[in-house]
Parts: sequence; C-alpha cells; structure tokens
Amino acid sequence: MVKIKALHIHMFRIYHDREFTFITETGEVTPLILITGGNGKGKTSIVDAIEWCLTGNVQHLNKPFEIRSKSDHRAGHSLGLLRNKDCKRAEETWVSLTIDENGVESVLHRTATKNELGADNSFFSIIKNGETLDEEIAKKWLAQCFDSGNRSFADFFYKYFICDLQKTEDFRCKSRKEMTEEFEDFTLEHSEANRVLTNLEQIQLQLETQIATLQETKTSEEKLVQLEQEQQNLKEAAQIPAYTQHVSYQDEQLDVDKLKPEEQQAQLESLIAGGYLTVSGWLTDLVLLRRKLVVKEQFETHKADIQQAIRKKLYEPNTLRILEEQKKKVVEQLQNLTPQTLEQVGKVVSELKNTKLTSDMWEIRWTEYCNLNSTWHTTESTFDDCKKGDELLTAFSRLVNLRTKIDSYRKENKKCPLCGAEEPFTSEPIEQLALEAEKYVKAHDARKLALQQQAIREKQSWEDCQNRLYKDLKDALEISKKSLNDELGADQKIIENTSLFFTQVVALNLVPESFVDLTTLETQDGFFGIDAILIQKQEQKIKDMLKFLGYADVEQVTSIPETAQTVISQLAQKAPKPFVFAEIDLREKIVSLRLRKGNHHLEEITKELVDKRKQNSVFDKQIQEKTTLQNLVKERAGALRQKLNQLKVDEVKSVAPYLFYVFSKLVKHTTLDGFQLEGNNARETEAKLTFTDQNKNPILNIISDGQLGAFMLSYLLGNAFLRKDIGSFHCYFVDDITNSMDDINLVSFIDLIKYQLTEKKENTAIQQFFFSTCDGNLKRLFQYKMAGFEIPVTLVDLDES
Amino acid sequence: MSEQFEEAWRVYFTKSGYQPLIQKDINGEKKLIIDEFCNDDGTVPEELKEIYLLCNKSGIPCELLLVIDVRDKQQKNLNALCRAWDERILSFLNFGILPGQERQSLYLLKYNVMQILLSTSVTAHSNAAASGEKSTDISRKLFVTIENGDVIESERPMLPFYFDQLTKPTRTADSESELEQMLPTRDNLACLYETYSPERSFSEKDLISVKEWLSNGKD
Repeated sequence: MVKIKALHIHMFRIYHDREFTFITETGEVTPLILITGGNGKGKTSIVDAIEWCLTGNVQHLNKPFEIRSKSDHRAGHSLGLLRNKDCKRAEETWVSLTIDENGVESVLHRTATKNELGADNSFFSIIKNGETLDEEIAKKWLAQCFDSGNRSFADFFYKYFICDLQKTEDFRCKSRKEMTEEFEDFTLEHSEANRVLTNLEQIQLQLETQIATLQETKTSEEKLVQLEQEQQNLKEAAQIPAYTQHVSYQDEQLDVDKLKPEEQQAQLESLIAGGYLTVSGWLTDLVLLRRKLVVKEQFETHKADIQQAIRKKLYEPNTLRILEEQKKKVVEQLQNLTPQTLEQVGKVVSELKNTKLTSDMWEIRWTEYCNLNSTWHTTESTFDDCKKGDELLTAFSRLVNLRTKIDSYRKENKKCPLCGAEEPFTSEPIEQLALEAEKYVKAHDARKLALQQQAIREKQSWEDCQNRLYKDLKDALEISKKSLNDELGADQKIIENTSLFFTQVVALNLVPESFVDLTTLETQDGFFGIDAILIQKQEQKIKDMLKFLGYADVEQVTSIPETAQTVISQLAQKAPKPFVFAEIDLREKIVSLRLRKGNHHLEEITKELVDKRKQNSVFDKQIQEKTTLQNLVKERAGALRQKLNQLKVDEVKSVAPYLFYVFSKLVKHTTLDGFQLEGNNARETEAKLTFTDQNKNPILNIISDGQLGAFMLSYLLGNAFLRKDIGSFHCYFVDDITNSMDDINLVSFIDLIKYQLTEKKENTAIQQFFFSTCDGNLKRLFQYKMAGFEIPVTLVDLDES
Repeated sequence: MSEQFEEAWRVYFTKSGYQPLIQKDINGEKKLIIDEFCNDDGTVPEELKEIYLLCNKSGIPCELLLVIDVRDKQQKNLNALCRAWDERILSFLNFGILPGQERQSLYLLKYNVMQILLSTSVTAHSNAAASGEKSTDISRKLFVTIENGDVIESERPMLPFYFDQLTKPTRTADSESELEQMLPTRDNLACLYETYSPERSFSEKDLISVKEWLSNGKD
C-alpha cells in the first residue's frame, strides 16, 4: 500500500518553504492527518500541493480560472495561481512528496517556473533508490498505483480522492447527463468481459470475410454445368475419321497419331490458316466480281451519260474545272465592262469560243470605232484653232478702237501720243479698216459654225459606235455566261450519274475510253455471266468455309467484304507457303485433328470436373465449419452483450440506493427517505437520469447545504469503498467541507473514519486520511475519537506555526 | 423459532470484535455484573438484550454498545426510555466499573457509548426515533428494524462498524457469476482477453480453441 510520508513545499501558493512529515514517533506513516488553522493559513494549499505534485493541476483553482479567462483575458491573469507571490522570476516552484510503498521510500518531485497549471507546464520526476527517473517512468508508476486506466489523471485524481467545497458546488450544477456519468462510476467496468465481447465480434467479422472468400474461391455451379455440357458434347463426338493422306504443305505430318497434342494443335492451326489463305483469295475475287457487277449495271443504266462523259473526259477532274474557270473569266469581264475597257474586254470576248464576235470582226469594229474617234478629234482640233482667230479679232478690234483715239489725240495735240513725233499718220482711213474687219469676222464665224456642227456630228457617230460596241460585247458575254452555265450543269449531272461507274472502272484498272463505243457489256470479256446470283453463290461458298474454319462474324462477307478480306488476310499470314488447297481434304484433316483435340480435351475436362468437385467439397466443408463457428460466436457474443447491458442497467439502478446506504451512515433521519435514479427504464445506462428521492423529487433542488456536504462525503466514501481492491493508493482528502453539517452527523462521520483507519479491518477502504478544518471542537473530537482506537494522528496546526 | 435464529443480529457485533458482557447462568438467566445497567434486584432489564464492549490494542475499553429491544414499547414512551438509559450510562461512566478493568480505564468510553435500539419498522421510522437519533446527549442512539431476528438488509449499513454491504454494494452475485460462466478461462483462451486491435487476426489455432470452448458450453 502507498501512503504519503512527507511533503515539502517550496514557493507554492501561500508557502515560501515548508516541510511536513506524517510519521509517528516510531517512524510509521500516520493514517490520519488533521490540518487545522484559521482561514488563509494554508490548509487548502497543503491539499493543493499534493494534488499538483501528483497531477500537475489543481482542479478547484483551474476550473474557475478557465471560466474567468474564457471571455476576459485580463481577468484570467495567472499571478499567484500556482507560485507564491514573492517567488522571483527565475526561482523554481516545487513540491516533493515522499511516498511509502510497503516500507520502500520514493520521492515524487514536480517543478514549475511559470504560473500555469497543467502537467505540460511543469516537470515531473520520481526518485527511487536514490536515482532520479524521468517523467515517463514517474507517470507509469502513478498509473500503476492508481490503476487509472486511460482516463485523464488530473480529472481522475480530483474526482476520486478529493472532496472540497468547489466540488460540492459543481455537483449541484451537474446536468442530468453528467449526473448519469457520475453514477456510472459506481458500476463495474467489466473490462475483461468487454474485451472478450469485442474479440468475439472481431472473430465474427473475420469468419464472415473468410466465408465470403471461400464462396468466391469455389467453382460456380454455372461453370460446372458448362463443363459438364462440354464433356457431354465431346463424348458424343468421340468417332474420329482418318487423316487424309494428301500433303497440303511441306512440313505437314500425315501420321498425326505420332504427334503430341500440342504438335497436333500446331498442325491444326496451320491447316486452318491455310484455309484462311484460300478464303482470302476467294474474297479478293468476290470483291472484283462485285465491282464488275456494279460497272455492268451502271453501264446499262447510264450508257449515254457515260459515253458522253468519256468523250468530254468528264471523269477527269480537270475537265470541269476548266469550264468553271472560263465561266469565272466571263463573269469577271462582265463586271469589268465599261466604255473605257471596251478594247480590253473586246479582245477577250473575241477569243471566246462560243460567241459570234470573231477576232477579225472585232478588228474591223474596233478600227471603225478608232477612226470615228480620230475624225471627231481632228475636227475638234480645227475648231479649236478657229476659235483662236476670235482672239485675234478681239485684238484687232481693240487696235481699231485705239487708233481712233490716237488719231483724235494727234489731231488735237499735233503729235503722237505714243512717241511724241509731230509727223502726221500715213495709214488708210479708219472706215476702210472697219470694213475689212467686218468682212473678215463674218467669214470667220461662218467657218467656225460649220466646224462646230461637223464636230458634233462626228462625236455623235463615234458615241453611237461606242454604244453599239458596248452592247454587243455585253450581249456576247451574257450569251457566253449562259452557255457555260448550261454546259456546267449538264456536265455535273453526267458526272453524278457516272461517278460510281468510273470509280469502279478505275478500281478495276480499266480504261474508260474502251467503253465509248460499246453498246452492251453483256457480251464483253470479263463481264460475261456476272450477275447477282453468281455473287451470292460465291458469298455462300466463302461463308461456309469460314464457318467451318471457326471464323466468328461470317456476315461480314456480305455486308463489308473488304473488311472481312483484310481480317482474313491477317489470319492467313500464319499459313505455311506454298499451301495446296483441296477443300474436301482440308475439311477432313481439320475435322480429324479437332476430334483428336476434343478427346484430349475430354480427358482434361473430366479431370478438371473431378478436381473442382473435390475442391468444392473441401470448401463446402470449411464453409460449413466456419458458419457453425460463426453462429456459435454470434450467439455467445449476443448473450454476453445482453448480460453486460443487463448488469450495467442493474448496477446503475442500484447506485442511488447504495449511495443512500453510505449517506444514511452519516446522516440521521433527514427529510430525505432515499435516493433513486429516474429515467427511461429501458435504457438507464444511456439515458439522462434525474437524481431524486423516493417521492421522485429532484434531490439537488431540495437538499440543504449540510446534507449536500454529507452527500459529497458519501460520494467520496462510496468510491473509496469500491476502490478498496483497485490500485495501491488509498489516501483520501477532505477539505473543510463539514462546516454546515450538524453535530450528530459529524460524530457519525468521525466514527466512520475511525472504523476505517483501524488496523486489520477486513473492509478497510481508507488507508490514509487528510482532513482539514478550522473548527477547533471538531479537531478535538477527531483527536479524542482516534485516541480511543489508538489511531495515530499527525496534527498540522497552522495557527501555531 | 430457536433463540439463535431470533438473535441473528448478534453476528454483526461479534464479527466486528465486540465482546458481549451479559452472561447466562445454568438456568438460562441473564447475568450482568455492571450494577448501573441492572434492575434494582440485580436482574438484567428485559429490554437490555446485550452490552458489547470493544477494547483497543492496549486492551483499554474504547466503545460500549447497549442493545435494547424496544419492539414491544409504545412510541410515546421511547424518549423516556432512551433518557432512562442515558442516565444509566451517565451513572456508569461516572461511577461504574467494568469487570476485570480498573475504574480509570473507562475514560475512553466517554462519547463512545451507543444505544442500539432493536425496533419494529414502524418504530424505527417514527418521530420519536428521529428525535432520539438526532440527540447527542450522553450516547448516540440508533434505531434499527428487526425482522425475523435480524437487522433488515437496508438498515444494516447504519450500524457504524458494519461495512460489508458497502464494499461490494452494486454487484449482484448471481449475475456476476452468470457473467463469469459465459467467459472462457484465461488459460485456454488468452487471445480473447487481449486488447482489441483492428489489424489483429485470429489464428486457426485460436479459432479451434474458441470452437472447443463454445461447443463445450453448448453441451
């Protein structure tokens, strides 16, 4: 058993440095540690120090701190939470707990330099036999001592070993679900039975997988029936004909019985390939025949067109293209035709074949046009020269007018106005000059008018010629365009009608011109006798052979013979060459070999069938065995699950009455007449339970503080009783919770502790008890009661220190 | 009904180390040599069924339990009866002496004397009993219901020294036993007690053992 022998606190909470020893004068660990002192003297800090050393946490401080810090970081300021307020920054806070484990001493040590709770914020170690061991070993030791399982150790320790005011208040706030969980602690874990159940469930799954795998591995009934059918077919075809003794290819072995099955198989494949080789040739012929039939039929139907096309070489792609280019050229000339482009367009038109405007005619027309133009322009030029005489006349008129003025000036001033000479003028009189001029003007105007009229006439002639030429060219182009259009249309129709004919002719490597004068193909070499019936017969012959050779899609022969020919050619590549094809011989040889193969196959199938049936029988047996085991496991797992559920339900139901037993050991005749859990009767372990009295009144609503204190003690004691045989740590801590309890209940409590701490008691669940109180009378009563039973007490009186 | 059966309650005291002080002579008469607890004529009061004494390791008396039968008493007289016995106890603590003990040895019995009142169910839950039990005067009082000579199961835990039902309170022995019978022995099928792991696969040998176990169970 583990007991706490000493405690050394350094810079923790209220303490600077303080050592406490819990041993008797004879050196034995004291079972009762009575901590007394006024408020703020450090009673709770002693329990806190022990809790922190063991767990790294102080739950009654941590929970409120976390609530405070949640919404207000400042409020959560951690100063003084763990370390003494006088502790310097670099100084360590530490607690050492000396443990006595059946006479062997160990020291648990925890240090921290930060004011933060939680095991991660401190270092934990254990000193055993003078050797400091690391945190992992210390934790392992703790888990073993407390048998805490996988639970959070800090929560576990606080829940099961400490009873304080914070816990009492927490309990009153518990939800129904949390209350259920609190009560489930009093039930057995049945961990072993649960492990067995889990493993049985896993076996069930494993068996299920194994059975499924066996089922999949078994040969299906469908496959067996198929094999049986094949076996039956082979049995029926057991008569094997002799192998025909005509060689089909060089390496053929005629004495096939000497061949091994795989050699027979190879020879069979060679023969089949040889068959394909022949069929490949037949297919080539068939394709030719079909083409010839098409040529023949087309010729009969479109003979005129075909021959026309041959004459015009319409089967050549260039022929139509040339016509199209001509048409394009004509259309371009039409678009370009203007009075200015007459010469250029005229030349083009004169070169066109299908117009009335020949090249000579064009030369004459164009010369006429040019002459008319030239004549008109000459007259125009003469007229322009004549118009220049008008200017001379004007100059003359001015000159006559000026002479008159000069003469007047000479007469008046007796000298020339220009040179000042005084000699008199000697020219003709002015009237003579005017007459000459008038005469000249009349003759000039008459000539000018004649020239003008002549130019107009000549221009008109030229324009008329131009218009005629334009019209004639346009007409010629339009006619040419229409003619070309008609020709193109007719040719295209012919091409449409004859394209299939010419395609097949080209494919057959025939010369189109050879058909130009023929009246019929019926009598022509190469076409004679070709008709649909002939082709049908050829197809049927090929299909029969292919079917015999084992070719799957024989209908290809009719629908897509070219594709069939390609595929068959590939199959024929394996054929030995040269290959002598004789249909009857080949068929007999193939049948003979196939039946021989069938016989081997029959043996194989028979053997396979026996093996598979035997194998299936083994699998069936295994499946049956595993199914039987699976059912047994399922049945037991179900029963175990039911039993565990039932136990859980029964146990949870009995927790409340049990706690009432403990409670009634402490509390005498209260208003409470019993405890029970109220909830869904069918599923107590999973439901939310209400903690009520016998009359179904919720306990937490009606219980007084004093009763709640007693109840919390009952909860601690109840768990202590249940943990009697679990782990080796049975020290419990009660911190100032008895203040509200009345005297008689306190006496009952002290008596209970007294009986528990008495040595050699069979039902002792408490090995060491730490009790703190500020009540002097209670302290003395404890001391008196323990003294009567000679139970050693260590009194830690903090008022005295 | 034999006397032994009628007084089945005695076993809880004797098993916890309490020594009965009332003797019986050859005539079956009860004898007690503590005057304070006897009638004036020296006889043992009819309602006093037993006085149990517990001594500590040093042999010094540390607890005295008076078992008083109030089953035939009227409720209205119970308080008076308890008071009367308190007076006898006070007288004993002040002036009495225990057989074979010195007078000084009684000092530890102060506050350690208790009246155990054997009652009917009605009496044990009466107001009179409640007020008696609440009293801390001179001695503690505890009313327990006796049926068929025994303390009824639900009230046994009230006996302050009795812890039997508390250390294994929620276990139903029959159910636990039934559960145990449904489980294999660890020696034969340790594999079923191993911690579950999803990667784990049971060997053919394990499966054969499981089959043997379950088939035997069937038989």
